[in-house]
Amino acid sequence: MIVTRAFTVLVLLFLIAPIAVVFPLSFSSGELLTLPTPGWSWRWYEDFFTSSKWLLATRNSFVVGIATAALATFLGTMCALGIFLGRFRGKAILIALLSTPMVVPVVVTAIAVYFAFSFVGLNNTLAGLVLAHTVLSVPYVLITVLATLSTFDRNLLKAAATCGAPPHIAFMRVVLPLIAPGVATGALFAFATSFDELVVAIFVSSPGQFTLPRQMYAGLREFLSPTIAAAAVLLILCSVLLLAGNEMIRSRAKLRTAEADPAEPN
Amino acid sequence: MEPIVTFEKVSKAYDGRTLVVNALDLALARGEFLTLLGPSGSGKTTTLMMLAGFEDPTSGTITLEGRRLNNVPAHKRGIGMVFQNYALFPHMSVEENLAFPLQMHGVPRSQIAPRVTRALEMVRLPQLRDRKPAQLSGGQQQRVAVARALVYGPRLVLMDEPLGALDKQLREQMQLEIKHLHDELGVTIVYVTHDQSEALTMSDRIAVFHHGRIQQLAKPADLYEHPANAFVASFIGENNRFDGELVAREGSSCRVRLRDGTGVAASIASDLAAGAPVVLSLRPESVTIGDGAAPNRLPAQLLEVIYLGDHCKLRLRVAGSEEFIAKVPATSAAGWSRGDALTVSWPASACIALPAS
Repeated sequence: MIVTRAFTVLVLLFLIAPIAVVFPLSFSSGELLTLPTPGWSWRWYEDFFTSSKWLLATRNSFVVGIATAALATFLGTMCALGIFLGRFRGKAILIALLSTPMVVPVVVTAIAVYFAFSFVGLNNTLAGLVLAHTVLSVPYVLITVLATLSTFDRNLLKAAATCGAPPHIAFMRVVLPLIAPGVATGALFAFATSFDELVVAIFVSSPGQFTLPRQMYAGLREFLSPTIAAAAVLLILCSVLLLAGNEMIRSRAKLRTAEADPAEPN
Repeated sequence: MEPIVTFEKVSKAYDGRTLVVNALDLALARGEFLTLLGPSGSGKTTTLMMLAGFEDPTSGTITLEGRRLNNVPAHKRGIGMVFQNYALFPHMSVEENLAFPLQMHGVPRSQIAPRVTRALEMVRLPQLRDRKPAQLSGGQQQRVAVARALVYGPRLVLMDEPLGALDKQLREQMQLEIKHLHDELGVTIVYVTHDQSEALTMSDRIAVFHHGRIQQLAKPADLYEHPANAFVASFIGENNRFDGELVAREGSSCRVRLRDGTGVAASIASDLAAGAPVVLSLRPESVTIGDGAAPNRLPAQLLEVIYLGDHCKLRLRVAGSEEFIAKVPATSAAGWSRGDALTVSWPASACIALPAS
């Protein structure tokens, strides 16, 4: 009992310790990324929030992340619906093809995207970054929405049609409310994928389109200022918020199904 | 009067070769309760789905009130439908479920609430309008589903084995409720089931399906008393069958020789000639134990007595068959036991000679 607990604690430490190190570093009063810190201060957070570079990167990250989430959620949901409702052979192959961006090494995707964009002039544009991130995010949406659809009763669509609802209204009023938890989770994953993404950003963006990870990478190569640690802490906080959001969606969906359980069938 | 629905030479093949529905012709009278009855895979559900607009006929034409339905999508047909698993919208309350078809048909907002109330009163559930479907029992869900199909006043309502998931008692109660709603509203109903007693209870007419074809389309009593072929005879109600050969016929009466040489007097409707192979169909309740005055009198050995409360079923060995069933009042069976030698008899009119398929 004690042994297993101790082991669990060790594993957790192993996972969290490297991340935890940036917290004290970000509050250092010194100029260098060293531990122990010479003293404590908020100066690197101040630096972060007053530097035009970091503020631009933050803005870019959110713009690209939100646009990616919107586009990938739309495409992924429509795609999942088509695969779920369509009557055709080779669905498994189609899903595997659509999921390749998840398994292909990101650097391969990044190089491919870089060359493809050079033909159409999308390198060094935010739109290009959004498109590239969408490619990486669609599989996550597709898979979460497909998983939710697997519990969807197709007869509901027939019922909606016999009530007089054309397909697009049946989708909005019947399908979407029932698969909303899966769609929301997919959207969060899509946002997180874009928000964390570095490799593609290295290839297709120039300083004007730098996102937070890209700006951190630039900072690491130029001069190791503790501002990077502050940025890292902020990124971690964002991720924690996203995770919390996802948990909230899941527990609410669970609550709804629990509510739907007939307490007293009479 | 012009029929409300017609099928003309309608066929359906899912794989391009096997005909699930084979050159179906059918005309539905306005206000009729028509049941499509048959075993699974007989084509009855496919026929219903083609009428609803969820399957396209491979060939042939379906019309609704004189209008060709080919290429008319399901949501524009104005046909209500009740599904086997209810298919209520789980995220909507009972009230929202009933309001949905009204909204889709452009009913003014002010009229929706009163029409929902009326529909709920019709199925006797006015107190449940704020519940979610999952908070209702199976019978209540099915009533809401029926109300949802009827609420916007469609002229035609389809029901696909709507009572299949309910227990026997509730099913019988719902059969009568649906029948009464049909009588009150005058709506045309096409009902699919594989339960022959359900079909006999509810229908104005029954179409018996087998192998993608209608074997017989008739009123329940006609179907039971005058089955058109051996399949209908065995599918509707209990039935003793003997294989034999037509020896002689005169008008609607005939003589048949069974496999073991026994001669039997029977009635016949089809245009078979002497020498043709036939199947004799005899209802268990037409059999009398004891001599009687009937022309058909055969020795029998009692194999089993099955007690069923109001009556008993006797399993007997008769003319080489060990599956001969006779239905007798429970009181008269009291003195018999297994192995007894009895005599069974029946009138010629109760025994129908049908073409062997």
